[in-house]
Amino acid sequence: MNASGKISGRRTIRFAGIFLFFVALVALFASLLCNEKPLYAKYNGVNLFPALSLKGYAEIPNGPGQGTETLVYSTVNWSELKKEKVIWCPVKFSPGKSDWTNAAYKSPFESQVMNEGEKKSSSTFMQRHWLGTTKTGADVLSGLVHGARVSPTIGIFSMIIAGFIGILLGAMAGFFGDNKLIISETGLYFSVLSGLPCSYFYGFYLNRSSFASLFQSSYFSILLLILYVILIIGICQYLTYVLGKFLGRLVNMNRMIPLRLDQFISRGIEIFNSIPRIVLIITLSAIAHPSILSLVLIIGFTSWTEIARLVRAEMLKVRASEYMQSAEASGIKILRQVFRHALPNVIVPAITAITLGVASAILTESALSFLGIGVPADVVTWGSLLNEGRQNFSAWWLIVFPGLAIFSTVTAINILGSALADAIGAKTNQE
Amino acid sequence: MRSYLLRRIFLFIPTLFVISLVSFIILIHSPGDPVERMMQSGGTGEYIPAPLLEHQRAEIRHRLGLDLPVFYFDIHSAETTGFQKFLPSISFHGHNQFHRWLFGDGVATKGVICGDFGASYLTQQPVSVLIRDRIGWSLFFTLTSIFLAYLISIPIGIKAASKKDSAFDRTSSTVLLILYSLPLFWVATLLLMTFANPDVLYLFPASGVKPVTGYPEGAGFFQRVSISIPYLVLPTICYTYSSLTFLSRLMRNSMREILGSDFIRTARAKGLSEKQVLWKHALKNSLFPVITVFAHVFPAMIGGSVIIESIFTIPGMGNAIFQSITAQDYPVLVAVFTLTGLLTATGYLVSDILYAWVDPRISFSK
Repeated sequence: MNASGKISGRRTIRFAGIFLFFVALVALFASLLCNEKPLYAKYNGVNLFPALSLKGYAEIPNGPGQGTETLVYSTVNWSELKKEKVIWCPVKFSPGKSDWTNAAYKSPFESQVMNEGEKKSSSTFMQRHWLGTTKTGADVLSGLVHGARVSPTIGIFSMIIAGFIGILLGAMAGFFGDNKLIISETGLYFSVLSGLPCSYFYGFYLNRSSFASLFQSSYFSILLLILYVILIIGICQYLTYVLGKFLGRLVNMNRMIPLRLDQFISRGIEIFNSIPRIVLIITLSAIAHPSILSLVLIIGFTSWTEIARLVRAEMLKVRASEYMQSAEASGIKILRQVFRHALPNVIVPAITAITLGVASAILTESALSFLGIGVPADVVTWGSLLNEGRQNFSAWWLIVFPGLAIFSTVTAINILGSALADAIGAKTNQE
Repeated sequence: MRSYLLRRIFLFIPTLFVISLVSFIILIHSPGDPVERMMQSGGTGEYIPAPLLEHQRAEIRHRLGLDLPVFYFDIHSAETTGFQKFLPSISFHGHNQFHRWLFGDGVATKGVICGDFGASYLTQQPVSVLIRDRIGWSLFFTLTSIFLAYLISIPIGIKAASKKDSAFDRTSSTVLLILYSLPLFWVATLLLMTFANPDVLYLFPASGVKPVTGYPEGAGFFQRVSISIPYLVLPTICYTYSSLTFLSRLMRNSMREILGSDFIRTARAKGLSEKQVLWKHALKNSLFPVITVFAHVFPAMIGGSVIIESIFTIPGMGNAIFQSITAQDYPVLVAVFTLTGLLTATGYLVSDILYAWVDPRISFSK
């Protein structure tokens, strides 16, 4: 801490950054670190790489003229298979996979029973459940490692969505203000009255079957659908606007009025903020199909208001500054003004808010998994491990370790976000 | 002032409408079929011929209002075949499910306006009775914890701001950052594990608000309170610390901003002692945002309480949300959601009006 009142010094920031990098590495290589499938195995003379392969099975020739045997990687019992050579992963357990010889909450310090093929031996220091097991015997360490994939992913992607919406709406509200955008009056009314029903009809109603099966389709088709809907809305609104303007000119009633975009968007933000966020997220998660995609969408669509407010405030400041006024005076077109001059100065505070938003999104997702809503039951995350710990308080390893993981990740992100905020001198809502 | 008030209330009404719309959309899309549910709960295992079942189903459907159109207007294709499939047409309905849900139809339900949220799927009791039973505990915890949080955070904020970058300021900022990052459910579970665990330290009971056998016969109000107190300590700690960080930071920043302003410099130049400057001049002005944020914090507690109430098994509104989710009891869920939304919107309205009343700069600005 130095005289300017920063929350954390250089060493803390570096430490937080290294820690987050470590978490990212662990998350990336989770399948190679903790997997019951070996990294390399030689079976019947064939070299297999089960943990690395994208195909989930292998066809092994059974000797000359005896056909092939299919090994499905996830269901084969690797410890019992007769292999010539094998290289295991550092932690030999998959997340959520039951280990019945060690079931019913083994503590990390107790002696555990290891299954080595046919023989059961008591565990050594290296070959054991390092952080204990859950009720069904699933390994906690591999749950932690694989959970490091889920929570930050949900946090990052939901904040990408929230950031996109927030920056878009905030920049529009701040840049155009109340009287910059001058459009035709008849065009406006016509566009709203007839364009909105048209865009709803052509965008949503005609494609209602694809919306109903939204969560069963691939991510790519969902993206295409969203782009298609946006395109339809844009076309409908523009065409009806042009038509309305033309009709207004015909009857000589055309008047150009300023569109009060700032008012609309600010009121919208206030109304949206009035709905309590956690209750809304919990309620929506309860009625939605439990999946990671729906969680990302729900958290993303409810978290954009903070970013929109910040971006709007920054944009208002930028708009009033001298270089923007000179840009306008030199006749630079509006779009170029926005993208090349105004937006770059607004993005950096927005990124700070997004970073802090990722931290709170991770907390939200953990809370939802802790309550049992949100991620599907077969996905192991830090919150779901805590949920199992809640049912049996003597299993302290199920409470302490996942909680530490959540806490340290969130703290690291918060430190980085505060450092970023201090560096650019912007005020966030927590400071 | 009056124009600000009017404008603010003018914003309140669309907010209420949007909240009721969102609640209604949630109700419509909740999984499961209420007709089937009512049929099953009324079944006696006798054999009923199929046409009679159909008649029963139609009757229940009509009674629940499910045969009405959903909303006031409806956009659909003009015809289902041919090129007219691509032509939109709007039809308007006066009598629809949304109107019925909101205002009632006088026969089966009196509508949300009169507080009738339907009957719970689980207990068949009216939802309003269930909420009325539970709102007491939520209110108690919310008010107590906000009071305690203010009590603790205001002195901390003042002390941290008065000596900028002192050791106290630095350590309190770090401690608050750590507290802010701690997940609420983790702290609650850790507290339970340490202090309510027979193996470790059995200071407080683990769940509920009163002993399992209930209060003893003829217990007076104060006796009941003294019996319940051990149960209430841990939940109150959890409720309090989450708003503590927010309020301390707010107080510290607001105080710092005020201490840097011109009139404080004048006061110091006049020769007033630091104590006088702090308590007589700075404090009143820096308390504005902290007091007015009360109306923001109050409804937000209802949301965060879902976690604490489900961990400590407190019979409050948050637990109502959680239990209704696990039991798939959607009328209760929608009712609680609507009420919390209304409370939040009202809280913001009160907060803005309070702020405008206390700070003349707001009410006279545009």
